[in-house]
Amino acid sequence: MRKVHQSGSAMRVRVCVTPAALGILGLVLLWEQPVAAYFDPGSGSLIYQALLAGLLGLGFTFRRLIGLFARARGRTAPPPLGPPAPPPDPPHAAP
Amino acid sequence: MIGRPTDTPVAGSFRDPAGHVFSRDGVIHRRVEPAGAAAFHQMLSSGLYGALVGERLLVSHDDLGPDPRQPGAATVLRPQQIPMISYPYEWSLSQLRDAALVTLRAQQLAVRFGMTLKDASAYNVQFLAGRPILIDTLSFEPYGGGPWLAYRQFCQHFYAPLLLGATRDARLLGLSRQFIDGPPLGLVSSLLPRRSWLRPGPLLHVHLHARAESRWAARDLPAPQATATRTSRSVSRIEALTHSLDRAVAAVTWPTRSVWSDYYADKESYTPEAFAEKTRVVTDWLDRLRPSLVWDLGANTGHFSKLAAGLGATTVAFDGDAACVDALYRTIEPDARPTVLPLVLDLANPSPGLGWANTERMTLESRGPADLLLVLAVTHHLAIGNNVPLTSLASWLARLGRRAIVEFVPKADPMVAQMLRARADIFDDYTESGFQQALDPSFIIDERVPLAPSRRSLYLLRAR
Repeated sequence: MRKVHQSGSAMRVRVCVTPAALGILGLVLLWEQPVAAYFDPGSGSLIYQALLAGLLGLGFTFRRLIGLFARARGRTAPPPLGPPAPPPDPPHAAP
Repeated sequence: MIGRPTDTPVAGSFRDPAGHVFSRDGVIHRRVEPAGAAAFHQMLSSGLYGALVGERLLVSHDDLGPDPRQPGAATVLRPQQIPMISYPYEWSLSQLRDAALVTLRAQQLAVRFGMTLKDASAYNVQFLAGRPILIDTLSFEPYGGGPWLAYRQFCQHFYAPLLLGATRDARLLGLSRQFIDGPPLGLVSSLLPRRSWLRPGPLLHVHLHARAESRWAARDLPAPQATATRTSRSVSRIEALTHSLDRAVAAVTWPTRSVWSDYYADKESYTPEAFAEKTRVVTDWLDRLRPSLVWDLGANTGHFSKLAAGLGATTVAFDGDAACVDALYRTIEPDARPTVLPLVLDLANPSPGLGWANTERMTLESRGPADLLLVLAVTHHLAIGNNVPLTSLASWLARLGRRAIVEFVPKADPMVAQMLRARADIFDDYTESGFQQALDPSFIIDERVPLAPSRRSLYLLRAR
């Protein structure tokens, strides 16, 4: 969620995502659980990873689709094999 | 009569129920427990093992089959042997970065073959022929969807200490000595400069990760599903996360400088004649002894380590200066055999036994003895710089190596004079005859060669 704060004549926009919203988002994005690890992977870390990997995965998929579309239109050469670029926006800037 | 080989469990191999490591007459073996057998066979049948070994990411092994001397094991493996075990707190920044990249590459390959790296411990990486390689064959399990369970472990073992060492000071890699599972992300986050919040790698994988960890540590997770499904979406997420980590690790850079890198170029330490004589004598002795494992204590730029490696010895080049070690590592040609393994080590405070019961990670001494020690231009640093009695130094060296080439640096040497400039000379016994007396209980002096025109001399010693 986005909050707008006004201080004097200057307006400051601050992106503020509450822990509750992040937690809900994390649980929504937490995809199916695999077998448990033999060490503690950390609950907080797993929730965070679900959120982060979800967003990174969206960028990953989006770039693949763009590549496929571009190739289908014959406008560009096939993209080279290898790691895709990360999405431009870090998750804290997401609404 | 020849006795049966004895099997000794390796103390550090107790965490993973999939298998355990043991030593049979000094040769490392790995037993695969029934709990790990299915994953192990899937790794073989899926083609992942071949791909990993083909890319030199994982040690190869011989499958010896079930062994009556290892009852209950599904099978016993004899992996490629590692001549010298090293630990992350002994690595330089480049070594830690390369180890991280190998781990990520293995995870990327594993996912393509329907499996995943179930742990990302830096202790599962060792250096073989100048390159990092995974040694835990049982670290792979079928990927049934879901997050990468080793994500936090990877960040703590690799990315966070690498970032901290590169950004603040390479000596901070020593934090891994204190925190055997890697420095906590919250601690690293607090130690990193504020500008690191503006860079995607530190922001995503350390700062926000650390805050999420502390904020949601007690939150319940959905119960594990008995039949989780691996979907293209879950694979995409894992791949995206791994690629993000890969880019973050590759983006870590650091300045390279060292106070010791010009040591041998320092005209006060050696004249060209003395240095040439030192090189000639050491080469001659190395050629005569032909050791297979050499430890060069205080290796500096690795000049003598490379000489030893060139004559066929696997050589470990220890130095206390992380920048020196890093510079040497960067000059090593991968796949050269034998090769030099540079490691960071403070000789006055060598690696202790760490972890559970102080045996999980071995002391320096328990990883020896080496066939030959090179102890060149070091005695004065320990005896005068650190007040170590010469008899104590000699007995320690005799425990580390069967033979030793030791350089004695007298008080008349400019380096020692400089060390004594600002302190009282309390070292009455620090004379060449005192040195020889101190050696006597621990070593037999085979030869002594003065390094004219300097007043230093080289000793060829044999441990009693």
